[in-house]
Amino acid sequence: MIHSVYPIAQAGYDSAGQASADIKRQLKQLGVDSKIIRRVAVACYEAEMNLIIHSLGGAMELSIEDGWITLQIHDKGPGIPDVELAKKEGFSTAGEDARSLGFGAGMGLPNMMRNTDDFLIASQVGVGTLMIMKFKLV
Amino acid sequence: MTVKTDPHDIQEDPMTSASQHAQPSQTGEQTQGLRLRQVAQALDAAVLTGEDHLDIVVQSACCSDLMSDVLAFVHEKAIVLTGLANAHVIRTAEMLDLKCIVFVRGKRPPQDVIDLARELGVVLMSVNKTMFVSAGLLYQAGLRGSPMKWASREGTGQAQ
Repeated sequence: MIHSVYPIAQAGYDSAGQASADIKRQLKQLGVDSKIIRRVAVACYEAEMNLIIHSLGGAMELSIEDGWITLQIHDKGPGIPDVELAKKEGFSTAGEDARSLGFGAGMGLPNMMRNTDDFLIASQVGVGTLMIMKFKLV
Repeated sequence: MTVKTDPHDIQEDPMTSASQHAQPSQTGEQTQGLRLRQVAQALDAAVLTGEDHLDIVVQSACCSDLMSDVLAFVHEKAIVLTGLANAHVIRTAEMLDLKCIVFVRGKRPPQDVIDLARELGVVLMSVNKTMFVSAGLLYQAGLRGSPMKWASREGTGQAQ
């Protein structure tokens, strides 16, 4: 079993993508199918950018066991008031700083959902957001 | 400048696997693809890094300044034309195993971004042309649009 934790800082634009790149490298070293790696990488990178753009800081946890890759993403807030709205393509609350970097198109959650085999999101304003993304290995 | 356009001259690079790309483009045509060297010639582009990888063959291209859209819609190893010149473009390329980024409108990313691309083996080019003209030149040279899936829009009646 593999378990790695990657803390992600609020507005940590300078190191953005490093955690996802490392996760991708790990999966490659394990010989995971490249199509699966690509889906994990896209979902993971979007999640990492979401933490950087929207959260007050959080972490991504990668675990691999029993034929599943699991990415658990949790943050310290601020929480999403309307999760169903956030899942819609094109809906974004990202600020100008994120948009100027090529993000905030409202494709984050849709991109994550379409690349995962199992997707769960729970959020509470003032508490934080938890996402669990699962990918079947075979 | 002589540009090789004979499709028989183009050998598939094993790294870019012919079979993965042997699919119709959006217009239903089969494309032979272009070597990155030919892409640079067609655009009269400056190669910022990756001179060693110019024999890689690409089949398609896409234009976007939105990296989320690239992450969402690009389903094969294509080149990306963009006016965005920061590290996120390189990270996006890394996530999708994209081999080449073309910065249009004369954009050049900072040196640390070029260094990251070099480290990851991503070819960077800079072109003193608009995105529209650059795309037109590549289409003329034989590249086609990247096959895209609009999964979440299917059946919604929305314009594609």
